[in-house]
Amino acid sequence: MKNISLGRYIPTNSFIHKSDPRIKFFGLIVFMVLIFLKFMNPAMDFIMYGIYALVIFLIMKIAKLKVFAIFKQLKSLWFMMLFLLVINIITFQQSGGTIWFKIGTLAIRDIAIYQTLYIFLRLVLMIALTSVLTASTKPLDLTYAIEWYMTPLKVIRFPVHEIAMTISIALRFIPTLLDETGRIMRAQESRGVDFKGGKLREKLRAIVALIVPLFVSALQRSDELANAMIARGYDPSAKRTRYRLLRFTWRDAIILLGSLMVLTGVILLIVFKIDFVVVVQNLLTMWGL
Amino acid sequence: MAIKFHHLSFTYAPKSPFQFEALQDINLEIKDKSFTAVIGHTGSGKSTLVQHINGLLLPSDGIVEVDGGLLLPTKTKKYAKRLKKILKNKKVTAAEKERSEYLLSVMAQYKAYKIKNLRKKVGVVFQFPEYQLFEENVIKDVSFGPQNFGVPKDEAILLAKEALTLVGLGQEFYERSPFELSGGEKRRVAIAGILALKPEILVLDEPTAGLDPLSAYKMMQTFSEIHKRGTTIILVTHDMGLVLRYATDVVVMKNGTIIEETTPQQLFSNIKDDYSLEVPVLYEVMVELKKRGCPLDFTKITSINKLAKALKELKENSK
Repeated sequence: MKNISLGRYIPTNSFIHKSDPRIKFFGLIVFMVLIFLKFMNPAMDFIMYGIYALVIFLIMKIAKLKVFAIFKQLKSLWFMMLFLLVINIITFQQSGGTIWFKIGTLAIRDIAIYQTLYIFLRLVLMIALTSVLTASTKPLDLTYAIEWYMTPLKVIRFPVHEIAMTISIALRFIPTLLDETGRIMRAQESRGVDFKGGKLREKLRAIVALIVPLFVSALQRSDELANAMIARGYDPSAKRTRYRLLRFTWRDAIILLGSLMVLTGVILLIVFKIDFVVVVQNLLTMWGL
Repeated sequence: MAIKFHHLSFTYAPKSPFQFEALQDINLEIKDKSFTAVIGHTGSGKSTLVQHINGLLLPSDGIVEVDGGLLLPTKTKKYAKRLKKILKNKKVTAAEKERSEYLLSVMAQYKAYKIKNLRKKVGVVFQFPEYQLFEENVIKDVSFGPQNFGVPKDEAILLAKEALTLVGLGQEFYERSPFELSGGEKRRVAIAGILALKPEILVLDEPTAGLDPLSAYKMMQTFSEIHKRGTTIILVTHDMGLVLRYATDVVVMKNGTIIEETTPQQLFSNIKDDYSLEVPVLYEVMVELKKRGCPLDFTKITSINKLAKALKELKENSK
């Protein structure tokens, strides 16, 4: 469990780390929306995914994050991709599209491969983006950002602070729970539990031997934390001030402008139905190549 | 069963932003049937070291030898290839080559373990072991371990009953839910779960942490009994009183290395400032008594009772 770095804050002194969490959060939302936009044709979609990947790579470099270390954590997604591919092949048996090849009676259609790639690439890009945000933003700062965005909901008496506090505690306890999971796994392994192999029945038993103590300990921890908060006079409805105030700086202006420019650019590509493949072909014809 | 660590190194989360070298080139032998205490600061590598004994952690480099079986970083052939590559590399220092040659010679003598076979031999009691309880009643939880190692259910229940008796829990506890028990009782159930495996080596990682003094004393007495029956015990602790009272050997760790291997008496008679260890009150009393002319044999006095007995004998002899 100590090998898991996905979702953890990695302190470095980068431009991205110093930026306002609210702006970073805004940037994340913008990119998430972009990832789900569809273009003229599959080729254009994949070109855009390539561009997004390049942008994310650059952001990671600016944030001084080890790109390889983050992508190494995504290796378990290969299994998911395989699973998705099988599901898509079965789902798109009777659909249109070109049959690329056949395995026995199963027809492998281009649409099945495209769908799998769409989901897989979107997922990888989203995880990479979220990793940049969590690796460059302290959990507490992230909560401030979420709380700030939810502030308008206070008008309808939505418990914004309580929700933010819950999220902040949940985030703070992720590493603790990971450590706890590792500890319980080691303890059960020393009693002969095999978490890696075994038959289905043994695997289920191994999961029970992990889940039950994990829930007991998590509930116990939450109870202790609640008691400690009450003992220190915590009142969720009390008006609060902040020790550290978030301020909009030139770094944030750059990120905000950059995000808006990318968003506008992509919307223009969709509105004017621009296809890079056609553009390149036209340019080559123009130059007589 | 002797345990040997040959040039053991271990790194947590290698090649990640959280990389941490917890053990560096450890060479150590834990004697068969000894009661060895492993002491040192928090973060000195004690728990990491002992978790290698039953393969919960595998070395990043080096070898762990338990009763003539080996625990290696990877598969035997792969590791041998890695070591041979070092031997052929001209840029590598002579010391590194010597180390690789030595490790290859160890590998030539013994075979690698199948982890499950090793875990049957080596029981590990973690800090706060009560967090591993999950079954609906005590007897099921204690018999869970033996059943995992292929012991038939009826036999496993007999082993569980025996282990529960050893930790002082009678049959009135058998059908109770482990979650209804008090903290001390839960701890005893969890320890019984390990003892039911009848391990030949018992690793105790701060087993008395969080217990009241009387419960802690009773628990340590149980472990002392198990040791007297011939089990090798490795105790990780911060309690120097326990070290003086129970341990036959002591290993002092600092920053992932071993800085001293000795006996409790030698350790406390010549404790170094940078160890930041607290000398047990009993030992300080003995030193003071010796300064005032009491000819005490430090190697034999490990408890208040024994000190009182020695003082009584001295008084009678002086008459």
